[in-house]
Amino acid sequence: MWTIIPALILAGVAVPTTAAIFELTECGADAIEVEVIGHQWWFEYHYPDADVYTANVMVIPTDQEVCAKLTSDDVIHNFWVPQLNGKRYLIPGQTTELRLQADEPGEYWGHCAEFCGLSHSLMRARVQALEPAEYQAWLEGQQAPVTLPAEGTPEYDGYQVFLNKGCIQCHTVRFDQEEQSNIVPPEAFNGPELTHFASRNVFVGATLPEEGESRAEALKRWLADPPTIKPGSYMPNLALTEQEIDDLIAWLESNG
Amino acid sequence: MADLAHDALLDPGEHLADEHESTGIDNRKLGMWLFLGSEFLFFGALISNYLLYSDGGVPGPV
Amino acid sequence: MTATVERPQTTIFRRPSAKTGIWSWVTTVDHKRIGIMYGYAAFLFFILGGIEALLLRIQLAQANSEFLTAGAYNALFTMHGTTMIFLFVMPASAAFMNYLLPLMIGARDVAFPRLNALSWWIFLFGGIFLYSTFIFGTSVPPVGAGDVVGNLAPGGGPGSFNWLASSPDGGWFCYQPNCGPLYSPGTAMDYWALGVQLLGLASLVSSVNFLVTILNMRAKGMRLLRMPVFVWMSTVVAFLLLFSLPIIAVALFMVTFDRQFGSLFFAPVGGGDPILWQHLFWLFGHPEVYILILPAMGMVSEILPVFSRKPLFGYSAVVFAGAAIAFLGFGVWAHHMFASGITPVAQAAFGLATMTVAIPTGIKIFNWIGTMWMGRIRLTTPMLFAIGFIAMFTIGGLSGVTHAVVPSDWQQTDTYYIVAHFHYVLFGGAVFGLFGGLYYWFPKLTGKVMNERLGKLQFWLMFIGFNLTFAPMHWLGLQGMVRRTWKYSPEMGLEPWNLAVTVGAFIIALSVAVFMVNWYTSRRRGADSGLDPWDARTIEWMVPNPPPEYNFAEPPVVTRLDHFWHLKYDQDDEGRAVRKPLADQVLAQIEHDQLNPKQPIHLPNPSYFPMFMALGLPVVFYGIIYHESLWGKAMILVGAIISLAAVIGWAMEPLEEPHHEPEEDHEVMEGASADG
Repeated sequence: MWTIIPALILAGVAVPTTAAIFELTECGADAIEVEVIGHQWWFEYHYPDADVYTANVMVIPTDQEVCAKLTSDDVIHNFWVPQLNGKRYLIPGQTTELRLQADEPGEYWGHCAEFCGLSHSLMRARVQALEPAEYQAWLEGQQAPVTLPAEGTPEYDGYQVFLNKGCIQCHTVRFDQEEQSNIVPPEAFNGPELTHFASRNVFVGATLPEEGESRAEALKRWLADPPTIKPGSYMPNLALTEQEIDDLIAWLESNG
Repeated sequence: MADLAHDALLDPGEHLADEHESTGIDNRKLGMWLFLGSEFLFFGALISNYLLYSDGGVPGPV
Repeated sequence: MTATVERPQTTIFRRPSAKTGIWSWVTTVDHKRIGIMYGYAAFLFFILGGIEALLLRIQLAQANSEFLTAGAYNALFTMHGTTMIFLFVMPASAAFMNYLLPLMIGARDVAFPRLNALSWWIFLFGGIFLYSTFIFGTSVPPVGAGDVVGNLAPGGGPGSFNWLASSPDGGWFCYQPNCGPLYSPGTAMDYWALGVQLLGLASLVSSVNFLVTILNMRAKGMRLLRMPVFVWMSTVVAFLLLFSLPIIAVALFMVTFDRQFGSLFFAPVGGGDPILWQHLFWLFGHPEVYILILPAMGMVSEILPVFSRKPLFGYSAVVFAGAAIAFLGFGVWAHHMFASGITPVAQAAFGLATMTVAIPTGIKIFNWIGTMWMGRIRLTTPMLFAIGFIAMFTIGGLSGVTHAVVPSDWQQTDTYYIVAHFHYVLFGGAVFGLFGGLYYWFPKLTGKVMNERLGKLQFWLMFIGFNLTFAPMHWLGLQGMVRRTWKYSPEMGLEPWNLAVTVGAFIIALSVAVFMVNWYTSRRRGADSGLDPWDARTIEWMVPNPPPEYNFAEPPVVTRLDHFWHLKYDQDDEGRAVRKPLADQVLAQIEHDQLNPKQPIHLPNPSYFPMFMALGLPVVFYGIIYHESLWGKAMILVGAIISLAAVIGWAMEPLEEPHHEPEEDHEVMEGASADG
């Protein structure tokens, strides 16, 4: 009897369990697709229909099934936004799928949940759910290139820092001018796309700015010496002067 | 005493035959068969890995 | 007696004969001495693993702490897991099995004494090899595909103790490709892979040894279903080891080849599959967790009946449940991979299979409770640990059942909820069981009893500390704290609970210190135990404490389960045990007879060669790590020669040295005790 009762309980649990597995796994036909690419140590998001690349903050519309297609550029990561669904691996060379759906607008926190190296604990995620109309507006905003800053402004100086100090080895920005359109780094390496950096409320693996810190303060700390904030960071210390950092921040923050 | 030792040196098998074997199989034979059982798993793992992946198959999971 | 026979007297191959001193320990093949050495070494590694844990907890007590560098943190959790599993729980179980199995089945030693010594030496040298990474290992962050320099701040970034970061830091599970050559360059994970390979070899060898011993060397009348449950669990564990270790050996070979020799088993760029590693690892890894728990379950099954004054409830069911758990355990490995993108069908199958394991586990728990039910309970320290085991293991088992519900596991996996689960079953389960066993069999080992007051103090400190440490982790995991995380966001509000966890960890440390004091003082000044301090049931208590080198002067003829108990007790009409009037005389006679054997007793001779064979292996492995240099290649050669020479010596040495005179036999009989 003591054997049969646990067996019956488990059998009872097994039925809804199995049903839930199938229900929660398969992406429906109406789902919109977002690619999530894992890197050491940040999440990249690609919206294939709009050809938009962004990082750290994933924006989705509410009341809409989102099919996240997950893969990785280097090691195995794990995308987990607890309030939206369970987690799923991001595996290099393979694609996995995860269904997400936000019923309410708001911000949902997430984290990489597979040990992926030195800064695994600093690889976080944010999902912003917007009303469908706002989402459309956001997407269109992301698709638009940014304008080159006017000469003589701090933003222009910051843009020069971006061009000359090595940033373009890894980061892309899309411009609306012919001569400086899409700066694309070499195949081997990429960091987050920075075109609309200022539209993201968090950066550096969604860990900055910390509580009680302004964006500028956080960026100052980061740009001064990335490896001390993110151990093992692929973004090296570029030995920027304080002036260069301020100008760079001015330019980045002007790209909303 | 000396006889026992003498026999043991010249014919170790006889000494071991004194050992009580509950299964009736000699200790060394039983030990070898058990080890062979584990070798089954060892080569089985190697061979099945080869068979699964030799056609270039990195499967695409859901 | 006259020696009229000429024998070859080679000085190289004659077997050593020291009975005392360091050399006697180095050459011993006596299962009791080997068990003691295993025990002390395992305890040392327990302390090391515990220190690693304390350092981790100091780092986690605050959200953005910079007590440790990220690299040091990663190395510490890798080594904590590796140490506790491979260098503490498994060898501690081996210590008990080594010491007790022959005594429990009425044998003089194990089937292959020199092989037994080999296992011990391979384990010891493997552990030293693994820990030598703190000195020799190197661990550097991944080299970028471009030539990015300076991607590690000087000193390893914020934090201290960066020198620890040179040891293995890819996790005890070494998931690919993070733990492969591209993303964990340096030698640290090579030390890990080869070290674990060595340790696996030690366990494989001893599993063959124990199986042959148990199957073949039982005393007359000791049928399989009359064996103590601990012996049964050891049998099951030996089968688990036999069939799971080869799989991890294959996996470790593959990862060593990937790292050292350029193969692409797990590298996507070459068509390899990182998930293959996970399958292979967990095909071993899941049976491994049953290897970790079953010996402790066996010990608890011995302790509970003695201190409830009742036989084990449902002996056959407990035995078969143990075997069923092991068998089913081979079919559930992918429940560690529910989030890895395996198909929903696979997930459902493994989820259901995992649920079925709960059934035999439940049988055991109900039977343990049934043993205590209506028994006359004596709350001695070993009994407290056994009861604690049941309670804590049940809690851990219940959280395990929640993992079997796959969609729920998608939230739980890789969080502190899982950390809570496995520590409840491994610490609250296996470790509590091991401590119970230590207190219970301490008299067997030493002839004295441990101090009961210190023992109870240790139990309660450990119980409180343990629960304070691991209970909050269920909550932390469900609140979103991921595993293997050096820092966590202060905005998540998890700091107070993490601080509580750290305090609990230090309470555990305090309890271990109490234990060490108790062990040391009881060995020196503990009260004498006599033959049967606990009024026990099984035949290992039919030899004096500590046992003479030959264990039994004459192996008992076993008539039924709990043979020893039935020599002392009858059953009255209501089924209660009534002590036989002559019981005390019977005990005294047993003790006298065991100390005065009537016939000369052959014991296996000591030998040098197991140690030398074990010595060559790490030398070869050091050579493999540094194989690109000349002296690395030399080490491979030298190590191979040492081991090979030892094998030849082993094969050629005489099976026994002649006994020269009756006086020498008399020395053997006088009971050169195995106690160190």
